[in-house]
Amino acid sequence: MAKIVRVNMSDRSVKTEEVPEKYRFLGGRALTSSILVDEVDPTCHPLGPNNKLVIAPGMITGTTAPSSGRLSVGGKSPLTGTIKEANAGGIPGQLLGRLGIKAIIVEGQPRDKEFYILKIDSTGAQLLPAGEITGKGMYETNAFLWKKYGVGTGIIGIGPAGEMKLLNAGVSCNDSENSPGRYAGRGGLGAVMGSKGLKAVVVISEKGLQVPLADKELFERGRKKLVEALLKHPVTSQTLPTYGTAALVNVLNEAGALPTRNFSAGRFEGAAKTGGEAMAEINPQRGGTMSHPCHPGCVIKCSNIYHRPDGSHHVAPIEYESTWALGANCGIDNLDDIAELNRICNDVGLDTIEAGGTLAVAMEAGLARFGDGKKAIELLNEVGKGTALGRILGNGTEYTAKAFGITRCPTVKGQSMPAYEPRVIKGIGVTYATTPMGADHTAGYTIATEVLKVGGEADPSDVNKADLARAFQAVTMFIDSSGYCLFVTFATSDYPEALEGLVETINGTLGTNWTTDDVLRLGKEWLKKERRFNEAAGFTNKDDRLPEFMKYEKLPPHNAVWNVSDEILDAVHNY
Amino acid sequence: MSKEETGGQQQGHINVYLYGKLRGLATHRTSQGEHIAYVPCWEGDRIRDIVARLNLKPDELSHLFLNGVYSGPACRVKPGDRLGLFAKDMHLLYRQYFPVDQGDEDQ
Repeated sequence: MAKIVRVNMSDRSVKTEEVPEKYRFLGGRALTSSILVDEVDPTCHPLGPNNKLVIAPGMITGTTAPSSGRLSVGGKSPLTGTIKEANAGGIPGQLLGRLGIKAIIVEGQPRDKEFYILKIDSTGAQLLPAGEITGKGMYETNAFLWKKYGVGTGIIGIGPAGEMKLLNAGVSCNDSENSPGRYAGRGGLGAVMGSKGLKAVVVISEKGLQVPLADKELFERGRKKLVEALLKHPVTSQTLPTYGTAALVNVLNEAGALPTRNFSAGRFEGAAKTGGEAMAEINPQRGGTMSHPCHPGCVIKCSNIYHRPDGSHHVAPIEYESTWALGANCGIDNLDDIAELNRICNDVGLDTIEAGGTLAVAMEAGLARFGDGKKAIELLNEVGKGTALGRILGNGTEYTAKAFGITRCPTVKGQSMPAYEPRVIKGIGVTYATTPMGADHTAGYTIATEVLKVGGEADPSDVNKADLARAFQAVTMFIDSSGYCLFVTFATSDYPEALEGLVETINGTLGTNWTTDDVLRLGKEWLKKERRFNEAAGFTNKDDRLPEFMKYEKLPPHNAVWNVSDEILDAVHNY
Repeated sequence: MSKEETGGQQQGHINVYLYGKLRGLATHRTSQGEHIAYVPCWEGDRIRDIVARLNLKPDELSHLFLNGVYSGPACRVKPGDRLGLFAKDMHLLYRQYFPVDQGDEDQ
């Protein structure tokens, strides 16, 4: 029987509750956002006692469905002030799913300044003092917890940034090798976890546990369709396993859409040294690994374990967004410096996109020269030390831009933009502007226009752009709720049977009778909920805009400006 | 039939940036790690002519960018253009990301 674990940090009580009927078929983002809408005052302070942190595996997380281990973390974001969901791979989601935990709701606030660990196994959940791991980085924390609770324990934790309640603090999930690099990074949810006094959730691995299936035959049929599609699609069977997500570096650079030196150019002369091909060339020579799964059962294996020149383990993984944010966006072309910056983020507990955006703004402010990787490492280390400068940088791009008077601040609703230049790729700009999450590429990554029967042209003056962005966001909402990795949409975009398979695995797990048409319908329904939360928090259409400088600063090499009208942006919300 | 075969006038070179498995075709590797081939260009050439001159078949490619614009093989090229060619194993874009400039005629 599925259950919800409710943890009240004010009185340190832990209760197990039955899952209300209204949440029975929800998971991941749909569940975290529904609970927040039902239980959290949208006007509350994100770091106060009235906000809640909700952790939820996806609908099919923990099953044998391929690439389906995502775990969602939700709360009112201290970075954006909006409702927030960020999700991650790694092993804790699967373990929670197999324990029948539909969600963990963390509420209240401790009266003392102590930190705690929530331990969950098949007998229940209990709060324990965090003790000696308080203040420790995530590498040390994870090593300690595996030593104490066993190899294979799932860990959801925060580093010093979260404990200091810095706005760029993310929530770490460990992978099969106990690396802390799988982050529900965006939106400062690590600070919410820190504000609750929760250092980590440990999920004890037990053999023999399985997610119950409502219709095993249907599930298997869907699983096979999806596996076959993922193994034959060129993106999920060739590009991602060979080069990882960082294959995009050269593609976006060639398109003139790779944000460079704090979004002042669209092409970086050092891109080739920081992309997937460079990694695939040097990393195996050092003993590192390409084609690494972030959790058991992933058939795409887009991840990597990056090694130093001396052959020692450096960081896992270096993803596209990270190598861009800490590379091109800072003018840094040394992959080993990028790896070190990435490792610091993983250890201190920071979102790499926001950290890179922050460093780029700091460089523009003169704190370091663009391209100076060693100085960037020095600056980022300040965050973990909790110095005054470190606390400014740890609070993210917009906070740092304000501190140093920088007007080229590439944020939406306070959140730093990811690695796609909206002045060139207008559609992703519409998503940045209008998603309830702040600038977020994953909030509307893409879908198949053919399969889902939605139109859309790339002409920026075409109002259908709004239709496309709305559909992208709705389908992404559904995928984020399912527990599937967003990369399955490469296959579901091109092969109708893959989307059928995806829906069949969900129906086979939950006992629902959804069709492929329901993907869009349900996604829109849940998006509307998030939008209502934001409206109640005080957000209006005027917040759905890109920063002003993008309207007048021409981006080389295309000399493009942001020219999508406000009317088109507002039309996205015509559900 | 290509221009060189009909005795057309060579006008200069196209700077072809090569990615993925195609990097092996490069004649120059810059200090920034870029793999480039400088391919002769004749008047009236299209992307497909440049691709053929590199002894590549269309199905060996995933994405083509001409001067930063996602392009089809019929697009005309001129000396000094930057052409980015991505191998099949670099297929990584969703169709909706970029409009494809298909050139001005005959697909």
